[in-house]
Amino acid sequence: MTRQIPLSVSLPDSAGFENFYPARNEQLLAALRECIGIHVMQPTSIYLYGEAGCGKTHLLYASVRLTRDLEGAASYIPLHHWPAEALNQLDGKGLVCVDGLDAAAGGAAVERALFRLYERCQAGAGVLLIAARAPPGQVGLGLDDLISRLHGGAVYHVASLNDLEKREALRMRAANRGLQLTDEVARYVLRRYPRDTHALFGLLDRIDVASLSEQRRITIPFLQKLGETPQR
Amino acid sequence: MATPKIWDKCLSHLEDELPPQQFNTWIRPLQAVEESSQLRLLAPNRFVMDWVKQKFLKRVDELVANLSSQNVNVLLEVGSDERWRTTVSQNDKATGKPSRNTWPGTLNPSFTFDNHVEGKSNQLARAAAYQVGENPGGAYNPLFIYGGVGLGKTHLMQAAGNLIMDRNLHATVAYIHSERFVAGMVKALQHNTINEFKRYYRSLDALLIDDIQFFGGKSHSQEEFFHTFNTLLDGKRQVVITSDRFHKEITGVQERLISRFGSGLTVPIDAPELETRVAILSMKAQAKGIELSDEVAFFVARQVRSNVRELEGALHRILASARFTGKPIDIHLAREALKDLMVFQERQITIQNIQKTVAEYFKIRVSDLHSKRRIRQITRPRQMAMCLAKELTNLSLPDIGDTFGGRDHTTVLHACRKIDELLKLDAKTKEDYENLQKLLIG
Repeated sequence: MTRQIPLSVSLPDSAGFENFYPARNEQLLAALRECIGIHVMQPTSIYLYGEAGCGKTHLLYASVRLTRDLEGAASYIPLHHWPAEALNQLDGKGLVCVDGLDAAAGGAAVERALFRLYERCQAGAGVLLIAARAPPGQVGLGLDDLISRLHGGAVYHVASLNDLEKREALRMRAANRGLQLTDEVARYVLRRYPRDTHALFGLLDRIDVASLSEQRRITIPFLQKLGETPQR
Repeated sequence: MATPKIWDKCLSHLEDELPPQQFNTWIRPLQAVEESSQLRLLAPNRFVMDWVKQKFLKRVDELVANLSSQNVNVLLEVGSDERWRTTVSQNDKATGKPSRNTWPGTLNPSFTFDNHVEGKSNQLARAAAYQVGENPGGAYNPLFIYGGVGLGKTHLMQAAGNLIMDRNLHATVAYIHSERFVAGMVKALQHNTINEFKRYYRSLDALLIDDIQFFGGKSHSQEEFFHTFNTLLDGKRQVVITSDRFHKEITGVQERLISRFGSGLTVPIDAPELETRVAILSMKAQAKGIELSDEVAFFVARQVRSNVRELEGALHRILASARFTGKPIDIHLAREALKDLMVFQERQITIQNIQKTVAEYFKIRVSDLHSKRRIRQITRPRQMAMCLAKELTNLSLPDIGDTFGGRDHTTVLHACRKIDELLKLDAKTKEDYENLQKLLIG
């Protein structure tokens, strides 16, 4: 059989709101879309917290996308990869997304930089959208002025998916790519593979590429043949 | 430009028909342009346009058809009517002073005395700020306002500035956060515009500088600020400063500057008491077009005790929840919306946790708090723990007394009075108390 070579640019999971499985986060999603989409009565900061893999980064990307779709300015700063100076370059207008505050908490320089950025956002009518694993008072920040400002904005908990929701999320993502993932296969994946969402969606990427390449439907034997290492 | 008549009528109908949040969020931002047989509604962006189209346009069409004598076509699009834009103040040209647009320092007009809630905790600071607004450069110069984060220092300071400008249209007043002052100065040095920077700040009628404690360790900026400060004071122009602590407790700032901070009037702001928190919540809700019932306001104010910003954060959550569910704001909705916060607080604030936290903080044993020992090292922490238990739990005074080795409720009352008294007189007690609150509330 001739193998079809998949294009390397194909199938990126576009991290938009439409591709986020809401589960128990429906209210958060509605509030976030509204805050990003309209420019009245919005707080200077929106703070999302939740454990690793609950979808915070996805929501930040989706917010950037929505803002840009509306022809607004948006920037994304992952603090775990970028130095604090990156924050000093931003003018505080439009949407400013800061990911991984945990990585920076406790560092005096980065906290001061974030505080200044907050002040610029307030002056420039910008919105600071922050993601971290814990609420402002418990994330390890030392600067009280920053903590109180973050508390004063909108603070939302992003609920992690349970197994049933992960299964549905997996199927939704597959369907958005035009793949059919039966309930049986989704159950198998959840039973046999690491269940954190990063691993699951990463697995879906690989399954997608392989199924396209081999022109096969996604079945349990196909997964077994893929050679992915399941957990015993 | 006059508001178009048909749209005016539509607005009045829609305001009656829709919940205030929906009206304020989606309908109020629309700008209307009436052109012969067409009403153009301009949405600030596509998101609003889509939402209005989906949820309200049909009703707007009906209203327009009913309210107009002729056939009016309603057109909804993204845009902005240039005629609605406000014109920039010409004050700077009139006075010939350096333009305020060159340097940061714009007052926020929404901070006024009218929308500031007065309570026991801020009475003195408010009276002083009002006096400064009425009579800048007078007796209270500089005015130094200090207190913890989120208690309304910035509001009072800017309200004073806005009052100065209300009384004198030509007054030049700048509000600036001390971090921005430092950043502005660094930029001026880099761009070789330091003389303009100096001229601007030294030409002001009033300088309001927020969170001065951020000057700590920045000797070059302190030097410049010192000269600006002296120039303004010598010229009988007003300086208002805020800080998170008493001026003598600011670290890393030159002694001569600290002594000048205290040369006018120094006033504290404390955390608002329950009634003030309720009033603040009601006013903030009203500003968003919402009437909050007393029951809900008291409920929220009891949950959020530390500062005004957190009250505002809680209100955001409740309003978002009401918008999402379409339900009226009652105690059930408020409880549901603040569930995360309450779980956290309930976990933290038990009498056992208060006793444990206080004992650890003062390096004594919890059993010492229960004991009959009456040495100072034990009685003071015990009184503080009782006072915190009264403030942070809903337990009765007899119940609190019981948990401290079977003491009488009058002992608890005495402890609370003693701590209240010390909070006013003794900085160390105040610091300890605030630290403990922070440890318990987060």
